[in-house]
Amino acid sequence: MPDLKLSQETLPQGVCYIEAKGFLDAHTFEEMEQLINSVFRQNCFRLIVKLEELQYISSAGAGVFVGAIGRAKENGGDIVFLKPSPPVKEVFDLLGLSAIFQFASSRDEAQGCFS
Amino acid sequence: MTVRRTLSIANDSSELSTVRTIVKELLDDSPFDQTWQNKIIVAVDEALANVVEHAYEGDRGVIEILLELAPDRLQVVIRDQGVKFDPGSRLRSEIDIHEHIRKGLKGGLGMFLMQQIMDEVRFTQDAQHCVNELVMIKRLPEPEPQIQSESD
Repeated sequence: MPDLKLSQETLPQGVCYIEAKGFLDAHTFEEMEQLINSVFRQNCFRLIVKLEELQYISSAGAGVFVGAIGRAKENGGDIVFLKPSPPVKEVFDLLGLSAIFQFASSRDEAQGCFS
Repeated sequence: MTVRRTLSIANDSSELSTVRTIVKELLDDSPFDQTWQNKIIVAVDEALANVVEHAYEGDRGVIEILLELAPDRLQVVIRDQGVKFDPGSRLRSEIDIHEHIRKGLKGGLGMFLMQQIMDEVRFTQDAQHCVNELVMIKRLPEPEPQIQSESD
């Protein structure tokens, strides 16, 4: 069954690097939500989220980031998307998120957003 | 030629990926380009996710999906026998994404996506048979006009 695979690592400058692969939809969004909430509980509010191998996102998945960006910024952080796949970028565009979130095409560029 | 697919699923979010696959298979043989195929799959998925989440209020239920690819359009019909649903103000053609972010609102974006992507989105209720029906239509792109070359 198509699912969501998440991995996480901590980078310098207190940046949390999350990679999402698979499908972020109404069935799997809670996994991403739980991961981001646990990262926030560890006082890490600087997130890089790699979406290159995320094949699909629905509004439930996008909603996780919509719900999280405010809290990240209130705590001096942000959410930077790294290389979203074309289907994911299309949904971000439709929702107007492409004008709100930061995007990066490389890991270095994403980390540079927090310098 | 019109191609039809009919399926019934349980109101379980694990079924959403199966339906997306079936919609993709149907669209693979259509004139919709890859970008529009992806968007239409999102619209169907959003509609279905709402029905899965809300129609039966936690009880088990069946959702019927009818897909019809005609020469001029794709029609998607989703039927359930759950609680009566009136989209009211939730069916919106605009959202204030900044307000969503300001308030940390995670939901309410699916209906907007459906409206953005599909040409028609209609909700009806058959009170006699207690059936909610959602019909979504996407018209197929017009064929490119043939340009006649002039002979010398």
